[in-house]
Amino acid sequence: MVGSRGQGNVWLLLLLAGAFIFAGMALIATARSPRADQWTSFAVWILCALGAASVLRWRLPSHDPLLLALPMFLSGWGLVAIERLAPAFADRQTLWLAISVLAMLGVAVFPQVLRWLRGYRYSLLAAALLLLGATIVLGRNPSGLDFAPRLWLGAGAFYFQPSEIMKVILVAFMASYLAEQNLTRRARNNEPTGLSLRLVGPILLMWLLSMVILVWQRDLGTAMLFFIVFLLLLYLSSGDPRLVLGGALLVLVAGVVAYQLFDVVQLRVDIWLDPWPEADGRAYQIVQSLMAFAAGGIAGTGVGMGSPGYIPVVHSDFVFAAIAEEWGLLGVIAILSSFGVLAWRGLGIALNHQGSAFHKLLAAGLTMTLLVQALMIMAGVLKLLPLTGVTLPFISYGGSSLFACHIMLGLLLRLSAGAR
Amino acid sequence: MNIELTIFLLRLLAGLSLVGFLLALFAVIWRQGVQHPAADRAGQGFLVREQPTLAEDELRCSLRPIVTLGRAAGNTVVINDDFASASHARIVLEGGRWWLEDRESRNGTQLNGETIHRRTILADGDEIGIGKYRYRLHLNQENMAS
Amino acid sequence: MPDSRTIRHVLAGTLICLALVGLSATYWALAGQHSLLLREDNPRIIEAQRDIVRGGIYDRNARPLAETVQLENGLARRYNYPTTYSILGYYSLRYGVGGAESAYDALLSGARPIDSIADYFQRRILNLPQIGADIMLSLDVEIQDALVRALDGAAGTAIVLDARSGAVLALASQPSFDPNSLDTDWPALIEAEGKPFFNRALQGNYPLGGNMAVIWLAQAIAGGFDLSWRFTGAAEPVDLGDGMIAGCVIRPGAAELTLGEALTYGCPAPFASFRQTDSAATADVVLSPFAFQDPFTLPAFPQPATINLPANVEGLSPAVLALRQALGQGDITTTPLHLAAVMAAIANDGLAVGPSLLTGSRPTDIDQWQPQSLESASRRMMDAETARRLRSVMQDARARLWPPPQDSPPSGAHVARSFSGDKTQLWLNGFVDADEAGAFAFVVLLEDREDPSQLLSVGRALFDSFASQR
Repeated sequence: MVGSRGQGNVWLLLLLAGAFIFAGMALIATARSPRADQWTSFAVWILCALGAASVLRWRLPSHDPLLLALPMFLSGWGLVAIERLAPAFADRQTLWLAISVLAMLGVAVFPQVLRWLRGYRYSLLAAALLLLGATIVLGRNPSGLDFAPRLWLGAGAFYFQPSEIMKVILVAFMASYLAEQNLTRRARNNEPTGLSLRLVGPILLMWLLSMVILVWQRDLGTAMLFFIVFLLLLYLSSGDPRLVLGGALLVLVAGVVAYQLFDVVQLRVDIWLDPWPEADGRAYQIVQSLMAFAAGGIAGTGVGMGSPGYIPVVHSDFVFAAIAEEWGLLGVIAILSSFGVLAWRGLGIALNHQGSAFHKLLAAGLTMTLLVQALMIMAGVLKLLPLTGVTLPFISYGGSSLFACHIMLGLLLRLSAGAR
Repeated sequence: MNIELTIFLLRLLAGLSLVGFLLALFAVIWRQGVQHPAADRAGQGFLVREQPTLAEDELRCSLRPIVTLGRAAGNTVVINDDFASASHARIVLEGGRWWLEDRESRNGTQLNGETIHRRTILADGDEIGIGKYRYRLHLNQENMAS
Repeated sequence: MPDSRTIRHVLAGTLICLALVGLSATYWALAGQHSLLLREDNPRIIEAQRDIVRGGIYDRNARPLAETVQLENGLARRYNYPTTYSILGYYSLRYGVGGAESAYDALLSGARPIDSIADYFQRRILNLPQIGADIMLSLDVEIQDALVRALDGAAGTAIVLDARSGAVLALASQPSFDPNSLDTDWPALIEAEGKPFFNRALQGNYPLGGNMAVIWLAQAIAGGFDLSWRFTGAAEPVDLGDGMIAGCVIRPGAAELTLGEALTYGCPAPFASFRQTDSAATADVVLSPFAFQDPFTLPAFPQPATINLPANVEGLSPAVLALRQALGQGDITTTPLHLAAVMAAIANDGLAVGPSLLTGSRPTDIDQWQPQSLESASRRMMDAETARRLRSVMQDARARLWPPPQDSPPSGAHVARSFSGDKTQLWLNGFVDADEAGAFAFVVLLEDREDPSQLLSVGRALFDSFASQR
């Protein structure tokens, strides 16, 4: 591909991101008693950013540098946010970032990974479903609380959420499956696309899988995410909006049924429709989140000077609200722009003419997984949608999530360089 | 240096670096959006030989209204394979669409692994198979409408 | 195979969703400023309040009456002088502010609009804690202590004014409360029968009652009445109708009394008779210079309460009603503060200076006290000669009840009684004129009392402490 893709820009972007993260860490240091570990976090971030940029430049010279600079910017911001909101978790998150960036480089640099994803897709899918099954049977919650959803598999102090890595495998599986169906040409040649089992089958399968996740794990967010991404891929591969409408109908039906059957869904929808009467009860979290947006205003209160601590679990699901309070609307727009450019570049890989159908669908699928997840939680925090406890990619606390996001990013970097 | 000045300067640095990051980001997008590297090089699309693979210099052939494939030397794409007929197949632009025609070859032409029996519309990413050769079609949809 | 049209659709949809999130965030960030942030359940309001470094309150000798101290778990308000609690009030995150803390809240909390760019940077960019100014009150802890000691725990109120400047030197109201433990005591305090948060000196509104004697005496002096004239039957009780019978506060030794002696013992009968010697001098006419209808108040403090005067006056004859008005049991009421201003006028040659409490403030960035402008209106209540002769009558009265030691400063006093509903109040009013040290006027009110013995002991304690003050 093209060598002159503006590689100089990545250094400028990383420099500015570094200055921003430095300012955040230093402001935290002024606001509370100093803790040397935050500078360790910062140092690890610098190493990750420079190391990843150098390795990619050396081994994958034609990659898209924005796909590295943006996520590094966001994950550095995430480190600052967690250092600010939950210092006890900051070391763990830093460690996870280092592991994740290494994994990302591995995926990006070794060309076999894409072939494996396609070639062993059934084995991978089976393994992923097995993990999911294991979670349903053996799942735990790190908090140890009985009512908390048991989405983790753990050994000792190490916990992992299989549904996160399942995202990657499922997207790869869907992409390779749909790529082989050649739905576009069928439509063009007026071959029947309607009710063939090859089309409806996977739709029902995905729907079923989502429902299993929802019913057995009460993990509304992941279930929704899987299904929406699948519908988008279906639309991309067929170009037929009817399939999407049909799928959306299924989501709606599932939603109504879930509302009737599950307390957790009912609760989320109820407080979404009208949180105000229960502002100090069940809707406390969402009302506090909106108050954080109001308290932040345009310029924000400044790092360490707001009170985002009033929002329960602010460091994971509600990190977006904390950013709105302390960095203001400016910070919110920066994050939205970053995700917007990420969508642009990610889907841009699919727009590019170099890849096969599998590669295009994979690039689009991975990008949309990141974007749909980000949109779901941001809209939830802002009371645009019911809350679906998913993490904000790259920023929220959570090792599994950070790891999975970087794996997806590694694949995107590989694809951006031209897959062959 | 007193603490107030430090906080002020740090907040200034945070704000400026954030705005700077966004501006640099949009500058990159603007420059690359204006001069899309793939667009001018590809024209309306091109054909890439995938199998057998050539090391780095892939066999690449820009599409023109009629692209002929076959063993004979006069073809647009010359196929050095005993299974291929002299004039094996051709790709033509008609009514704004690309079609694949088999020119009554001995061993047939495959599209995505299936032998075609009539003119078939081509789509971006399709794989054309002649003998042991595989060609990948890349269409530039932006330029198709014209 | 995805074609670029569908990819563009998906991209456009994604960007539109991001824009919607941005619009929604903008809405909450801008509109929420006015609706959400002002909600009572916004913990940030309390947090902001907790971070305010509230200014201290000092007495006129710069003793710290109330101060903000740094404890392990944050800032706390500490009150150091128990006798001043009733006038200082309280400051609580849960229950708000009261008393002087409430009256001077803006100064103490430093709440003010942003007034400069530097100010904006300090408060919005640096988020420096809001720091209030220290304030200085005219209170004197030593006088305050003496006054409260003299009250000896009785329900009531006592005020000492500087007669020349109107400055409040001491002001106590009982029963009181402890602002240091307000949050725990609050439920009991708010239910308490003695109404500890009701400042009797400022809010209490009582019938003028026997205090009317001073007004009649001023009228007698101004009208040239012979003060050595003895009224017969002076110690007899006066029937005010409907079971209200006003007798002497302290039993006099003789049956015939001059107006001065009647003032000494709080006997109403001579004044009832005197009233009839001058038909032009109705109660309303003689009262008007003393401005009971438009009393002095302390700005920003709670205003006097309205009280229900005896309701069943319909059955009473006009003569009895006129008698009631003449003896202070009509529709004229007074606050202890205003009566103290009348006493101050007597001590200050007839000129009453409006009472004031705040004397100065000290903003955080300045290390010097800045005087607070004292622009309270003054009123002439009598001419200087009348005031002088009234002083000498009251000095005689004081000498009869509490014989003064040698070379004590000129001081005067009288006692009085008023009936409010089924309650009786006893009053002890007077002045101390210690030339160089200034002149003080004081009013002591004991609530719900008949027996004058405590009034006598309060007076003794008060004059003793004034003598030792010098």
